[in-house]
Amino acid sequence: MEIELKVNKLQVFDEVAKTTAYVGHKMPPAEGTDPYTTIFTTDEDQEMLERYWNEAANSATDTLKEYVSALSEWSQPHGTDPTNDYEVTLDMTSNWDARLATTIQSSLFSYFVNYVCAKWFMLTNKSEAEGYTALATGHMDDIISKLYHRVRPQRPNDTPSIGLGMSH
Amino acid sequence: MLKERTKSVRLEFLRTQLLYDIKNIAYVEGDVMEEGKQHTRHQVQDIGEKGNIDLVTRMMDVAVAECVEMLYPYSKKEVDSSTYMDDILQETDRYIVEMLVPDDFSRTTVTLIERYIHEFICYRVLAGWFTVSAPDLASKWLAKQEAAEVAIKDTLNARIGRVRKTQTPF
Repeated sequence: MEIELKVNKLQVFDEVAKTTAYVGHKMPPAEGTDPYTTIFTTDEDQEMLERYWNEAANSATDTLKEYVSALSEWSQPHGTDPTNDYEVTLDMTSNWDARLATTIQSSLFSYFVNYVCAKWFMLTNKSEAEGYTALATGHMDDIISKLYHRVRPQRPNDTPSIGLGMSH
Repeated sequence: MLKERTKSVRLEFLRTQLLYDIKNIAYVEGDVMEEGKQHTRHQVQDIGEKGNIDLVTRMMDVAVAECVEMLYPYSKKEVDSSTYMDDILQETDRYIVEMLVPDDFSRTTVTLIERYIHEFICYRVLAGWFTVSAPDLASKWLAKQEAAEVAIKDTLNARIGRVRKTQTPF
Protein backbone atom coordinates (compact mmCIF):
# COMPACT_ATOMS: atom_id res chain seq x y z
CA MET A 1 0.00 0.00 0.00
CA GLU A 2 1.28 3.43 -0.92
CA ILE A 3 0.87 6.67 0.95
CA GLU A 4 1.73 10.10 -0.33
CA LEU A 5 3.00 12.75 2.03
CA LYS A 6 3.37 16.37 1.09
CA VAL A 7 4.87 19.24 3.02
CA ASN A 8 4.05 22.62 1.59
CA LYS A 9 7.08 24.86 1.76
CA LEU A 10 5.13 28.12 1.87
CA GLN A 11 3.03 26.86 4.75
CA VAL A 12 6.15 25.78 6.64
CA PHE A 13 7.79 29.17 6.13
CA ASP A 14 4.55 30.90 7.18
CA GLU A 15 4.52 28.86 10.35
CA VAL A 16 8.20 29.60 10.97
CA ALA A 17 7.47 33.30 10.50
CA LYS A 18 4.59 33.12 12.98
CA THR A 19 6.67 31.24 15.54
CA THR A 20 9.67 33.53 15.27
CA ALA A 21 7.45 36.60 15.39
CA TYR A 22 5.74 35.31 18.53
CA VAL A 23 9.00 34.35 20.25
CA GLY A 24 10.60 37.68 19.30
CA HIS A 25 7.59 39.62 20.48
CA LYS A 26 7.45 37.87 23.85
CA MET A 27 11.15 38.20 24.57
CA PRO A 28 12.10 41.11 26.84
CA PRO A 29 14.24 43.67 25.03
CA ALA A 30 17.95 43.35 25.67
CA GLU A 31 20.29 46.25 25.94
CA GLY A 32 20.59 48.03 22.63
CA THR A 33 18.83 45.33 20.61
CA ASP A 34 15.27 44.60 19.63
CA PRO A 35 14.71 40.83 19.88
CA TYR A 36 11.75 41.03 17.53
CA THR A 37 13.80 42.33 14.61
CA THR A 38 16.58 39.82 15.33
CA ILE A 39 14.43 36.75 15.73
CA PHE A 40 11.58 37.32 13.32
CA THR A 41 12.32 35.85 9.88
CA THR A 42 11.91 38.17 6.94
CA ASP A 43 12.11 37.77 3.19
CA GLU A 44 15.79 38.62 3.36
CA ASP A 45 16.39 35.54 5.46
CA GLN A 46 14.80 33.33 2.84
CA GLU A 47 18.01 31.92 1.45
CA MET A 48 19.14 30.84 4.88
CA LEU A 49 15.76 29.30 5.63
CA GLU A 50 15.89 27.50 2.31
CA ARG A 51 19.09 25.80 3.40
CA TYR A 52 17.45 24.69 6.63
CA TRP A 53 14.46 23.45 4.64
CA ASN A 54 16.77 21.34 2.52
CA GLU A 55 18.46 19.94 5.61
CA ALA A 56 15.10 19.03 7.09
CA ALA A 57 14.07 17.36 3.82
CA ASN A 58 17.34 15.42 3.67
CA SER A 59 16.97 14.28 7.23
CA ALA A 60 13.32 13.28 6.73
CA THR A 61 14.21 11.31 3.61
CA ASP A 62 16.97 9.53 5.46
CA THR A 63 14.53 8.46 8.15
CA LEU A 64 11.86 7.39 5.68
CA LYS A 65 14.21 5.75 3.18
CA GLU A 66 13.22 2.21 4.14
CA TYR A 67 9.81 2.85 2.58
CA VAL A 68 10.45 5.55 -0.04
CA SER A 69 9.27 4.62 -3.52
CA ALA A 70 9.17 8.12 -5.07
CA LEU A 71 10.53 11.49 -4.11
CA SER A 72 10.08 15.01 -5.42
CA GLU A 73 12.94 17.28 -6.41
CA TRP A 74 12.85 19.52 -3.41
CA SER A 75 16.40 20.81 -3.44
CA GLN A 76 17.17 24.30 -4.78
CA PRO A 77 20.88 24.71 -4.25
CA HIS A 78 20.96 28.15 -5.83
CA GLY A 79 18.25 30.64 -5.04
CA THR A 80 14.86 29.91 -3.61
CA ASP A 81 11.69 28.47 -4.97
CA PRO A 82 8.76 28.76 -2.58
CA THR A 83 6.65 26.37 -4.63
CA ASN A 84 9.14 23.53 -4.40
CA ASP A 85 7.30 21.35 -1.93
CA TYR A 86 8.55 18.17 -0.32
CA GLU A 87 6.60 15.21 -1.67
CA VAL A 88 7.32 11.63 -0.88
CA THR A 89 5.56 8.37 -1.66
CA LEU A 90 5.99 5.54 0.80
CA ASP A 91 5.45 1.92 -0.10
CA MET A 92 4.11 0.52 3.15
CA THR A 93 3.62 -3.10 4.07
CA SER A 94 0.12 -4.60 3.84
CA ASN A 95 -0.01 -5.00 7.63
CA TRP A 96 0.75 -1.35 8.30
CA ASP A 97 -1.96 0.61 10.07
CA ALA A 98 -3.25 2.91 7.31
CA ARG A 99 -5.31 4.94 9.76
CA LEU A 100 -2.08 6.63 10.84
CA ALA A 101 -1.39 8.29 7.48
CA THR A 102 -3.03 11.58 8.42
CA THR A 103 -1.19 11.92 11.70
CA ILE A 104 2.12 11.09 10.01
CA GLN A 105 1.44 13.88 7.55
CA SER A 106 0.77 16.24 10.42
CA SER A 107 3.90 15.15 12.33
CA LEU A 108 6.03 15.59 9.22
CA PHE A 109 4.81 19.15 8.79
CA SER A 110 5.57 19.90 12.45
CA TYR A 111 8.98 18.31 12.07
CA PHE A 112 9.86 20.67 9.21
CA VAL A 113 8.65 23.73 11.11
CA ASN A 114 10.49 22.87 14.30
CA TYR A 115 13.64 21.83 12.49
CA VAL A 116 13.83 25.13 10.59
CA CYS A 117 13.01 27.09 13.77
CA ALA A 118 15.67 25.20 15.74
CA LYS A 119 18.30 25.97 13.15
CA TRP A 120 17.22 29.59 12.95
CA PHE A 121 17.30 29.98 16.71
CA MET A 122 20.83 28.60 16.79
CA LEU A 123 21.80 31.86 15.09
CA THR A 124 19.36 34.29 16.59
CA ASN A 125 18.12 32.94 19.93
CA LYS A 126 20.29 30.14 21.29
CA SER A 127 18.28 29.68 24.47
CA GLU A 128 15.30 28.42 22.46
CA ALA A 129 17.27 26.31 19.98
CA GLU A 130 17.59 23.22 22.14
CA GLY A 131 13.88 23.12 22.88
CA TYR A 132 12.95 23.32 19.21
CA THR A 133 15.53 20.68 18.32
CA ALA A 134 13.92 18.39 20.89
CA LEU A 135 10.51 19.13 19.40
CA ALA A 136 11.73 18.27 15.89
CA THR A 137 13.31 15.05 17.15
CA GLY A 138 10.12 14.18 19.00
CA HIS A 139 8.06 14.58 15.83
CA MET A 140 10.45 12.40 13.88
CA ASP A 141 10.36 9.73 16.61
CA ASP A 142 6.59 9.91 16.43
CA ILE A 143 6.69 9.35 12.67
CA ILE A 144 9.02 6.35 13.03
CA SER A 145 6.82 4.86 15.71
CA LYS A 146 3.76 5.19 13.46
CA LEU A 147 5.53 3.80 10.43
CA TYR A 148 6.50 0.72 12.42
CA HIS A 149 3.05 0.14 13.83
CA ARG A 150 1.38 -3.00 12.55
CA VAL A 151 -2.15 -4.32 12.69
CA ARG A 152 -3.11 -7.83 13.67
CA PRO A 153 -3.62 -10.23 10.73
CA GLN A 154 -7.18 -10.96 9.68
CA ARG A 155 -8.46 -14.50 9.89
CA PRO A 156 -8.91 -15.94 6.37
CA ASN A 157 -12.35 -17.08 5.35
CA ASP A 158 -11.52 -20.42 3.77
CA THR A 159 -13.97 -23.18 3.13
CA PRO A 160 -12.96 -26.81 3.34
CA SER A 161 -12.50 -28.54 0.02
CA ILE A 162 -14.91 -31.34 -0.69
CA GLY A 163 -13.33 -34.74 -0.61
CA LEU A 164 -12.02 -37.48 1.51
CA GLY A 165 -9.20 -35.56 3.00
CA MET A 166 -8.84 -33.17 5.87
CA SER A 167 -8.01 -29.56 5.43
CA HIS A 168 -6.67 -27.17 7.97
CA MET B 1 2.93 -61.19 3.76
CA LEU B 2 1.82 -57.60 4.09
CA LYS B 3 -1.76 -56.91 3.22
CA GLU B 4 -2.25 -54.40 0.44
CA ARG B 5 -3.37 -51.02 1.71
CA THR B 6 -6.58 -49.73 0.27
CA LYS B 7 -7.41 -46.76 2.46
CA SER B 8 -6.10 -43.40 1.42
CA VAL B 9 -5.83 -40.29 3.52
CA ARG B 10 -5.43 -36.85 2.02
CA LEU B 11 -4.33 -34.03 4.25
CA GLU B 12 -4.60 -30.50 2.93
CA PHE B 13 -2.78 -27.57 4.42
CA LEU B 14 -4.04 -24.27 3.10
CA ARG B 15 -1.43 -21.62 2.59
CA THR B 16 -3.81 -18.94 3.88
CA GLN B 17 -4.41 -20.83 7.12
CA LEU B 18 -0.73 -21.53 7.68
CA LEU B 19 0.18 -17.92 6.95
CA TYR B 20 -2.53 -16.63 9.24
CA ASP B 21 -1.19 -18.59 12.20
CA ILE B 22 2.39 -17.71 11.37
CA LYS B 23 1.59 -14.00 11.06
CA ASN B 24 -0.56 -14.07 14.16
CA ILE B 25 2.20 -15.52 16.32
CA ALA B 26 4.75 -13.13 14.82
CA TYR B 27 2.38 -10.24 15.54
CA VAL B 28 2.07 -11.22 19.20
CA GLU B 29 5.81 -11.81 19.57
CA GLY B 30 6.41 -8.33 18.17
CA ASP B 31 3.67 -6.78 20.26
CA VAL B 32 5.09 -8.03 23.56
CA MET B 33 8.58 -6.91 22.63
CA GLU B 34 9.94 -4.24 24.92
CA GLU B 35 9.87 -0.59 23.89
CA GLY B 36 12.96 0.58 22.09
CA LYS B 37 13.04 -2.43 19.81
CA GLN B 38 10.80 -0.88 17.18
CA HIS B 39 12.92 -1.91 14.26
CA THR B 40 13.21 -5.52 15.39
CA ARG B 41 9.51 -5.54 16.20
CA HIS B 42 8.44 -4.56 12.72
CA GLN B 43 10.89 -7.01 11.17
CA VAL B 44 9.37 -9.78 13.30
CA GLN B 45 5.82 -8.75 12.41
CA ASP B 46 6.55 -8.31 8.71
CA ILE B 47 7.11 -12.03 8.25
CA GLY B 48 4.42 -12.29 5.59
CA GLU B 49 5.26 -9.11 3.70
CA LYS B 50 6.75 -8.47 0.30
CA GLY B 51 10.16 -10.10 -0.07
CA ASN B 52 9.92 -11.89 3.26
CA ILE B 53 7.06 -14.01 2.00
CA ASP B 54 9.39 -15.69 -0.47
CA LEU B 55 11.60 -16.89 2.36
CA VAL B 56 8.52 -18.09 4.18
CA THR B 57 7.35 -20.00 1.11
CA ARG B 58 10.71 -21.74 0.85
CA MET B 59 10.60 -22.66 4.52
CA MET B 60 7.05 -23.97 4.22
CA ASP B 61 8.04 -26.06 1.20
CA VAL B 62 10.86 -27.65 3.18
CA ALA B 63 8.68 -28.17 6.25
CA VAL B 64 6.04 -30.00 4.23
CA ALA B 65 8.67 -32.12 2.49
CA GLU B 66 10.09 -33.04 5.89
CA CYS B 67 6.65 -34.03 7.11
CA VAL B 68 6.04 -36.25 4.11
CA GLU B 69 9.38 -37.89 4.82
CA MET B 70 8.41 -38.37 8.48
CA LEU B 71 5.29 -40.17 7.31
CA TYR B 72 7.40 -42.33 5.06
CA PRO B 73 5.79 -45.68 5.99
CA TYR B 74 2.49 -44.35 4.64
CA SER B 75 3.46 -41.59 2.23
CA LYS B 76 6.15 -43.42 0.26
CA LYS B 77 5.91 -42.95 -3.47
CA GLU B 78 8.33 -44.53 -5.83
CA VAL B 79 10.05 -42.27 -8.32
CA ASP B 80 8.96 -42.49 -11.91
CA SER B 81 11.30 -43.92 -14.47
CA SER B 82 12.28 -40.36 -15.26
CA THR B 83 11.97 -37.63 -12.63
CA TYR B 84 12.66 -33.93 -13.08
CA MET B 85 12.64 -31.34 -10.33
CA ASP B 86 13.78 -27.72 -10.23
CA ASP B 87 14.06 -25.04 -7.59
CA ILE B 88 11.90 -22.36 -9.17
CA LEU B 89 9.96 -20.58 -6.42
CA GLN B 90 6.28 -21.34 -6.69
CA GLU B 91 3.45 -20.52 -4.36
CA THR B 92 0.89 -23.20 -3.90
CA ASP B 93 -2.61 -22.57 -2.55
CA ARG B 94 -2.54 -25.77 -0.58
CA TYR B 95 -0.02 -28.36 0.40
CA ILE B 96 -1.25 -31.91 0.04
CA VAL B 97 -0.02 -34.92 1.94
CA GLU B 98 -1.35 -38.24 0.73
CA MET B 99 -1.01 -41.48 2.60
CA LEU B 100 -1.96 -45.08 2.05
CA VAL B 101 -2.83 -46.49 5.45
CA PRO B 102 -3.71 -49.89 6.85
CA ASP B 103 -7.40 -50.74 7.13
CA ASP B 104 -7.39 -50.40 10.88
CA PHE B 105 -5.75 -46.99 10.87
CA SER B 106 -7.60 -44.78 13.31
CA ARG B 107 -9.27 -41.56 12.26
CA THR B 108 -8.25 -40.02 15.57
CA THR B 109 -4.63 -40.71 14.68
CA VAL B 110 -5.14 -38.98 11.35
CA THR B 111 -6.64 -35.98 13.12
CA LEU B 112 -3.77 -35.79 15.54
CA ILE B 113 -1.14 -36.10 12.86
CA GLU B 114 -2.84 -33.44 10.82
CA ARG B 115 -2.86 -31.02 13.77
CA TYR B 116 0.76 -31.72 14.61
CA ILE B 117 1.86 -31.24 11.03
CA HIS B 118 0.14 -27.86 10.92
CA GLU B 119 1.97 -26.87 14.09
CA PHE B 120 5.25 -28.24 12.82
CA ILE B 121 5.07 -26.19 9.61
CA CYS B 122 4.19 -22.99 11.50
CA TYR B 123 6.87 -23.43 14.14
CA ARG B 124 9.51 -24.34 11.61
CA VAL B 125 8.82 -21.18 9.61
CA LEU B 126 8.78 -19.04 12.76
CA ALA B 127 12.03 -20.52 14.05
CA GLY B 128 13.64 -19.92 10.67
CA TRP B 129 12.36 -16.36 10.44
CA PHE B 130 13.33 -15.43 13.98
CA THR B 131 16.83 -16.76 13.37
CA VAL B 132 17.17 -13.91 10.90
CA SER B 133 15.05 -11.16 12.42
CA ALA B 134 15.18 -11.72 16.19
CA PRO B 135 17.72 -14.37 17.22
CA ASP B 136 16.62 -14.11 20.87
CA LEU B 137 13.30 -15.68 19.92
CA ALA B 138 14.63 -18.39 17.63
CA SER B 139 15.53 -21.01 20.24
CA LYS B 140 12.03 -21.00 21.77
CA TRP B 141 10.38 -21.69 18.44
CA LEU B 142 13.01 -24.18 17.42
CA ALA B 143 12.19 -26.12 20.60
CA LYS B 144 8.49 -26.01 19.69
CA GLN B 145 9.30 -27.19 16.18
CA GLU B 146 11.29 -30.11 17.57
CA ALA B 147 8.50 -30.94 20.01
CA ALA B 148 5.99 -31.04 17.15
CA GLU B 149 8.30 -33.27 15.17
CA VAL B 150 8.64 -35.66 18.10
CA ALA B 151 4.87 -35.63 18.54
CA ILE B 152 4.32 -36.60 14.90
CA LYS B 153 6.82 -39.44 15.15
CA ASP B 154 5.46 -40.62 18.50
CA THR B 155 1.93 -40.69 17.11
CA LEU B 156 3.06 -42.79 14.20
CA ASN B 157 5.06 -45.13 16.42
CA ALA B 158 2.18 -45.54 18.86
CA ARG B 159 -0.03 -46.45 15.96
CA ILE B 160 2.41 -49.10 14.77
CA GLY B 161 2.51 -50.57 18.27
CA ARG B 162 4.99 -52.81 19.99
CA VAL B 163 5.77 -56.17 18.44
CA ARG B 164 6.30 -58.93 20.99
CA LYS B 165 8.38 -61.78 19.89
CA THR B 166 7.40 -65.15 21.22
CA GLN B 167 9.87 -66.95 23.40
CA THR B 168 9.75 -70.05 21.35
CA PRO B 169 9.61 -70.61 17.65
CA PHE B 170 6.95 -73.30 18.15
